Amino acid sequence: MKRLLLAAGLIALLGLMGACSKEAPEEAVDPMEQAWTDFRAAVGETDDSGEKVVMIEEFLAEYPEGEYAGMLAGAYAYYKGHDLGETEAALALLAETLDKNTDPEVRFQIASAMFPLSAELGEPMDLDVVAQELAATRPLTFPELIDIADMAVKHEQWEIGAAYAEASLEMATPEAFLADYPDDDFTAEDAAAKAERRQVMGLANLGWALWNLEQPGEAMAAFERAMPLRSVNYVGAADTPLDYYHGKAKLAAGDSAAAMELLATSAIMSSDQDALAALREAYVATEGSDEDFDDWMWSQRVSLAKDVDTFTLADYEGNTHEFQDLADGNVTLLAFWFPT
Amino acid sequence: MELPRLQPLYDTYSDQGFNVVVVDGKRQTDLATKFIEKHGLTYTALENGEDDAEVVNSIFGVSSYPTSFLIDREGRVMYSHLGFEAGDEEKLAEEIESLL
Repeated sequence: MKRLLLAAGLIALLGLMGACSKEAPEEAVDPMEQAWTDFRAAVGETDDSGEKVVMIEEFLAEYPEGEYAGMLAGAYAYYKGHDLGETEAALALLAETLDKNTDPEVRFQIASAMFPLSAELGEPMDLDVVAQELAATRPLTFPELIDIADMAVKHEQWEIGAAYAEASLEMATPEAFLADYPDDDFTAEDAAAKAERRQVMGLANLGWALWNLEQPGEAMAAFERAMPLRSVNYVGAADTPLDYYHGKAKLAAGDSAAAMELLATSAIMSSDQDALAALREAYVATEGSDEDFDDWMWSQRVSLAKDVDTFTLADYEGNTHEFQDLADGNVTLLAFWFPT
Repeated sequence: MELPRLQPLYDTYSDQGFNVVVVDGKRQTDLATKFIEKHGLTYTALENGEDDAEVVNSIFGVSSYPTSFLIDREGRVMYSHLGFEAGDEEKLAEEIESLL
């Protein structure tokens, strides 16, 4: 550490000398910055996950202690773990990088990238340690708190889940939301809506964690607090895990009719496979078997489906299109994306 | 968004009355056109509008990408799909076939 500080001091001194001297040669480029520029240019040239992985590995091997290790950790977990399916190797290299890095911000990013890999291998890691290192330097933000709560609850780390969900609720206010986005121009109404959504996310995770910590009264109270604030997406499904966790708790409590009502929209109208499995379970608990489940699902889907709104937008040649005309009696997949 | 993964679905089902319409929610015109050309995407690609002409969030409430909706021949939204990962093609194909 002392050597690092000395090096940093020397660099600062050289920088100052450079700034003061008119005859100074061009400012020396930090080798890591140069390597980062080169890396970004090279990685943008390939779509091949294997090639990207090699480039990231080379960068991480050279600069495991730098700030970019955090940003690369997520990409590495995705390409090496998800795309190439080499979960164990991806986790090992990230663990090595974590050990070599001392910056709490970067360590938190690396650990967050490692968590899904560790969970996939059946041993979800403890994010609390790294989060507490970061919390010693600055207060954790709502996204950080809720991400930990969310990951912990998904992987049955109930105490951590409950603690971080509880902490996230303290940041679920319009004031805290606005403080997180000082450069954006949110109205008071936007901030209030975002704060409500934060509350729902926190309460959903808190409820399910408490249920599993065998505090059913407190769990149901958390869900009930969230219900009036619940918001839905375009197809009417909750845009948070509230319905899913609330439905699972109702099912576990033996109220399968309430569970079905809570789980139906997410399970039937979206790609949420967990909600679908829970709905099937609730259906069996109510009807005795899943013999007619698919027919029932279809009838529910037809009754939940809404007519699509039409709109007018231009293509890249400047021609405008009315969506209704494009769909026109076809089965249509309407996909929203952005290029990266 | 793994947009190229939609192309085989389009190629397989378009002659049975299946259409794909994609909307770039962030209006990154240069990046989007290069991407579409590079991957040889042949279905309809539109760009979100600005201000009052914005539709992605104001009409569909979409702020996470990619998000897709599957619409049946009668114009009803029958299914929504968040994210698009390897293997999602099979699930989407199943849903498309159930509506064709």
